[in-house]
Amino acid sequence: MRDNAIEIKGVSKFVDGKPIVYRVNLEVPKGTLYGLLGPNGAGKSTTIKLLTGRIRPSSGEIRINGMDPWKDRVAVNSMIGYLPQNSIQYQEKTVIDFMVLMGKLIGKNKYDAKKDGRDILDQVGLGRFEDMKIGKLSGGEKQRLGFANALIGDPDILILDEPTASLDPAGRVYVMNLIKSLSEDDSKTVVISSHILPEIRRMTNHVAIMSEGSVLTSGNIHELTKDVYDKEYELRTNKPSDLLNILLNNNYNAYQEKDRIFIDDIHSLDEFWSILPKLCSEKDIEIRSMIPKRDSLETLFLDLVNKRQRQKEEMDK
Amino acid sequence: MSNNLLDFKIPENYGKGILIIASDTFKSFLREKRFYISFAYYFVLPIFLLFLQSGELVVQTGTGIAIYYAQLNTANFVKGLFLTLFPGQIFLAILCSDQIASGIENDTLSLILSKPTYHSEIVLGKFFGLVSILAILQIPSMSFVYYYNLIRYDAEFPFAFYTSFDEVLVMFILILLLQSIIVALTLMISSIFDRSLYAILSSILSLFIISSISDNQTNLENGINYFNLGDYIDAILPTIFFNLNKLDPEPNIALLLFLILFLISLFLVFTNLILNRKELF
Repeated sequence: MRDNAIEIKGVSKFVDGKPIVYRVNLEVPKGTLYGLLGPNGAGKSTTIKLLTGRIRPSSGEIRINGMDPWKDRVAVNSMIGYLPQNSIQYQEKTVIDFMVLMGKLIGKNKYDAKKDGRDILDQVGLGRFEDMKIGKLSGGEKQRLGFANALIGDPDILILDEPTASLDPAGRVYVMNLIKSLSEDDSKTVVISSHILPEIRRMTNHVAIMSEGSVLTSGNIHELTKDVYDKEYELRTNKPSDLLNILLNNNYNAYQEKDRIFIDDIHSLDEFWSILPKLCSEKDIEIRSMIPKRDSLETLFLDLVNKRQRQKEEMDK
Repeated sequence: MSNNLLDFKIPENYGKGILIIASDTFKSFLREKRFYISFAYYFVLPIFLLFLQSGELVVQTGTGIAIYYAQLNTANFVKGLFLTLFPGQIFLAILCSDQIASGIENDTLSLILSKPTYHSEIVLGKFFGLVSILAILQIPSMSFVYYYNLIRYDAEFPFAFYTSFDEVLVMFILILLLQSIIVALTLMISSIFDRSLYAILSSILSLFIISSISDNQTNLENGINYFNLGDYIDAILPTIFFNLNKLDPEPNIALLLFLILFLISLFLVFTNLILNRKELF
């Protein structure tokens, strides 16, 4: 079993008496790509700030490689690379000057800081901008620069707050691939917060789903979703109208959109699969594909968030 | 973990960050418009002062008395330079007071703190960076003072040159130390606020309050108002350089330096404490 790079035990953070993060427990094993997934206001960024020692927990305990990020901030920061949610605001500094400054702050001399800074800029696709002032960069380029800053010193733990937030589609794919490539190094642990589910799905192998300051579930994505099935499916067939009629006659809640058939509320997939081939073979209907309307992680996410919402509404009553 | 305070050790690699942040603060200021506006102000100010001065014309006779008057007028000149014209201090506040607050506002402080850097390194780095900037701002004024003596009193070159240079150098250090108190104070105020505008306004307000308190202080028994730095400047300069005890009373240079260093240390320690406990949301 892997050791944990990050451990959060019963951590709460109250601001003006309001819980922003409430009794969060998380264990991030070493070498994993860990996603914090949740809607806006779920407490993801606050959790990230707690992890990086920017804010102090009101209660509970956080350990990063055994150290408290608030009390041992300097030692913890020598092990982590951090990408904040907001883009870099050193408007008058050039890209390379910024990289040299940050490199020097981790103890490199000017020559090494410049050399390593250039390598990292090339890695994130900013090599040609090294002499440009940061203020002249686009939002996406600033985001990449933030990412480059997080990579300085090759830290063991990367903590990335909404890494793809202000990137264009091509930039998103680039950064996602870059993050994915980090997983090849088993010693690296990456924590990513995002509200964009497909990106978390693509970048990470572990996830914690958060809502209203609490962790609803956490663990390996495959483990979490292995028993999760969507009740809504999309079918492609050679005879969509005929299939729709069959499904409606058999009391399935189905509808047609162009050449696709959508079925809602399949409660038993086993039953559905036992009936469908028979019905189709009678009418010579060929099923070309049947895919869930939603990703299993999305289904899990929506189920948990809705369940949480209902619980809250009941408690409010 | 040991509770023994004597076990306290300066962490390894401590101090490098001070130099890096000081140099960064200094270089960043050189790129800013407000630095050049301040530089122009400090350049023009002495010329205005020259016309405002009502000093008597002293004919150089080669005797001590003529030199004495010359130095005394220069001391008044420096006092005017630093204390009488309050806008200079406002410039200082505007230059320094948003250093930490703007870092909090635009998240640059967060970036620096995401590297293994101590809060105290940031505070000291910013402080020394700003003091270096102030040193540069003083150059036009000090150069002017230096030549002012030569031209105004028509002193013979070798003699007036050396005395004036000594005087100007120590005036430079003294004014820089006095301004460092303001830098440290504004850094402390800056660390309290998360918005640079509030920090600037509070710094200016506090300078007004301090100025008004120091002007209203009654003189102590020996005639020197120890809260009014202008009194020190008036009294000290001729005494320490020319051994002329013409001005009564004799000022206490050690006390002045102690006061300056004590105030600077106090403000910087508080800045560090505030920053240490500050949460960066």
